[in-house]
Amino acid sequence: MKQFLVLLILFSSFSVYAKNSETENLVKGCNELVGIYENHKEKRLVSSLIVSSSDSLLAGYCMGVTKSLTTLYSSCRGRNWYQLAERIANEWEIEEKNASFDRYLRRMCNG
Amino acid sequence: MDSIISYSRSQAVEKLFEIKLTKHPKLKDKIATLEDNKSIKLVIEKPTGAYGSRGKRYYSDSQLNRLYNVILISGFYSKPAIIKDVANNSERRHEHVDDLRKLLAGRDRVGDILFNVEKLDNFLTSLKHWPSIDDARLPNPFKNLPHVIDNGSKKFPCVLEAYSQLDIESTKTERMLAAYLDCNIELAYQLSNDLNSQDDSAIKLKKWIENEYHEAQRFDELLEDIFN
Repeated sequence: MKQFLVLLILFSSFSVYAKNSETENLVKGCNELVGIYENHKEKRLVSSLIVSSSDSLLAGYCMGVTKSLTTLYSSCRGRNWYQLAERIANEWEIEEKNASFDRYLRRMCNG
Repeated sequence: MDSIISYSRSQAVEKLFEIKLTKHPKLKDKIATLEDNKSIKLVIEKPTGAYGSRGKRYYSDSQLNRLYNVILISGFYSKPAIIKDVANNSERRHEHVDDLRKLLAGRDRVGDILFNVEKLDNFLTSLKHWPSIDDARLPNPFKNLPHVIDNGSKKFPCVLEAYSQLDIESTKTERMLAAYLDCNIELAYQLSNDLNSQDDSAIKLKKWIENEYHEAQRFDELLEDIFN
């Protein structure tokens, strides 16, 4: 059921113009995902103590988006989900949130 | 035009705590880690373009409050991820502070770390209720910053780790709770196995730690599957 929810959120996000909250959730989710990955590498049995249910859902959303990007866009092929998540977390300007969600997702794979 | 006053990491720490960072490399490393995990905010300029160059990093005046507060918070917790959680997530901060208050109730020291009891109370109250840690400086609850206490070990000292030192006067329940609050669930679980108390609250805590341990194992296994 959770996987279905994540997929539903993911595909509904590919409308041309995204609501502000969708972009913010993606940036937050990618921040969480990168953090969970780093914590998991650093020390075992820590992640579940630090990550809340809502953070887990956001991280799953980011992973769904980034994994899909690697198959949807030719410019994203060859990248892995972690590289994309890190880039979205670090470089996505929140000020750009009113712009086309789709366009900026593509841009994540350029450069 | 106003010019922005900028401070290097060493200058900022000296201004805030009158401590020479060069004499305390562990504190320096700790701050660097907390900058990297974004518990502490600072200005990072874009690299000049030379191969391998890093952008200039400095603190502006408005970033000193957070630096000060995060250093105080890191006097309690050892793991950067928890410090980030406390610094950046106001809802989680409530929970962390409530747990910390329960653990420290009535104490004026943990091992070599001495508290100013009145300021400790103000520190916990402010930390819990302030919406942000950027706007003002928390009361300093420590008589001496734990980071600069020479405890003879090479480990970075902090309050929750101090509980695990065997020479500290503390009950098994306190040690178990301290290990849990420091996200050392394996130690907390080990201690819970040794706990034979008949006290109702200790039994509840023991059961809760066991559940958390098993949940942490399940979560880690799931992450292992997802990430590999």
